[in-house]
Amino acid sequence: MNTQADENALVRAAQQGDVEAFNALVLRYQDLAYTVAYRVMGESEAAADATQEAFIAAFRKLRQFRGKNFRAWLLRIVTNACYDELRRRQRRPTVSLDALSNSPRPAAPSPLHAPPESPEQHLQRRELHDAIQRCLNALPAEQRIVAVLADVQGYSYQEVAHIARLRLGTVKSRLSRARARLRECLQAVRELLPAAYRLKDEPTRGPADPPQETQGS
Amino acid sequence: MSVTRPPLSERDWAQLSAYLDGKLNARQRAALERRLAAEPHLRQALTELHETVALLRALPTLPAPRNFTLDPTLYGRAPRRWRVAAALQLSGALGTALAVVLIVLGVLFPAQQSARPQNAPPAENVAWLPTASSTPTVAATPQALPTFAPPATAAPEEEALGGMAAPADEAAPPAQAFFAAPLGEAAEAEGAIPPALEGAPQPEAPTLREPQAPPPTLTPSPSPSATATPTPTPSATPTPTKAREKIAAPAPTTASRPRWWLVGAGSVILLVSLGLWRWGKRRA
Repeated sequence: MNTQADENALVRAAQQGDVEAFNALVLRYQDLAYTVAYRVMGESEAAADATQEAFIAAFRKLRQFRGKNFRAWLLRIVTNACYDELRRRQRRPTVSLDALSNSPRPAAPSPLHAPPESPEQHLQRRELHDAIQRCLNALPAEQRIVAVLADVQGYSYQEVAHIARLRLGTVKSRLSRARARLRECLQAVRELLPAAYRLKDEPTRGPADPPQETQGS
Repeated sequence: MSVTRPPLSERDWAQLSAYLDGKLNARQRAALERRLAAEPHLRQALTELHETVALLRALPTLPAPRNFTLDPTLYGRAPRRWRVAAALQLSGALGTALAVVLIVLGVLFPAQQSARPQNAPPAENVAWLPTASSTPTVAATPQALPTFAPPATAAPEEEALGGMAAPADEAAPPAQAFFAAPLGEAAEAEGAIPPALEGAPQPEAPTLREPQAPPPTLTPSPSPSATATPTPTPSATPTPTKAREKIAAPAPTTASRPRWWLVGAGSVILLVSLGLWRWGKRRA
């Protein structure tokens, strides 16, 4: 593939110390890296810091890259940077993820790509994303990273295992636990979720059969 | 009226999650589907799990709040092409400096030309001895001569060394005379050269016959510079090398020529270095 060949050429040039070639790779992957970092960190400034650290580390380690999948290699560095930042914040909890998750509106990223929508729709979508992010933030970090890679980014179990350096069985178990927790969390805020985001085949509940967990505010 | 659903076990959630991703084998899938048909709460959990995954998948990719590109001035290592060019230019410059040093050494510290003992080693080999090249001040300061003065004892072995001289056919350039010129002894010593040239000129050899016609100043007249010269030990039978070292000191009697091999090597290195430098500059 042409873009893959182009990427390989950029990687080779960057491995020789060509910063401009590496910056071309940065521009290609910075949205992805920042998104993963944001979903894991739950806060835009921390995500930006982790992303920048990840790209710096990637440039310094680039000579060690021998594989074909630069994206997976980069995401591994991003997740490691997120782990490091999370550990740092646990030691110095000046910015608590719990506090962020309980806040009515966590620091929002810049405007999202979306088709034209009404202000109401835009607000609904923001609320939905905020609610999902709060639920992600409530997960243990090791489950959150797996959930972000597998469900938010859509990588296969094998890719997640490769990026996170986990065994397949560990990926499966962490993902199932993360999904169960996320389901519970999202059910708690279900009434706030826009109907458009609910599954069409979702079984309707009669008034006599409300979900037990549905007491979300 | 609310219906309390029985809680699912962790294994149930794991099976539902794997079922969603198509990761159950045929037997596991068939068993779970039988349960799903029979257990509404399990079916409900699967639906909610499906919805959860769909919501996560719907999260968009976020635009980076800023560019995370690296500053080339901070993180830039020169690309390979530039590093090669820099290496070429550096080696060219260093080579040029080395060549200049070699040429200057070859011209300013010439090889001494005089009678060479018949069986003495070639001048180039002897030149590495500290006598001729590394003690030019000795040769240029005839005041030191008195310290080497014992002509009576040195003469016999110098004669013997002179008999070992090999033939040489190069005339002595006046370079050595330049060092010796200010001194009257040098003028007298110059007079001793012609017979030496008839023999075999060699850097260490020229003084071999000097004791036969010692300059008048060889009589003890110690000068301050004598302290810088090796203290002579007028032994009757020094080794030939030592003898040559001591004898070479009264160099005013010798003629000399530039060390052409040094000049030649320096010139070659200079040309190669300039070529490397220009090549590197073109690549840069």
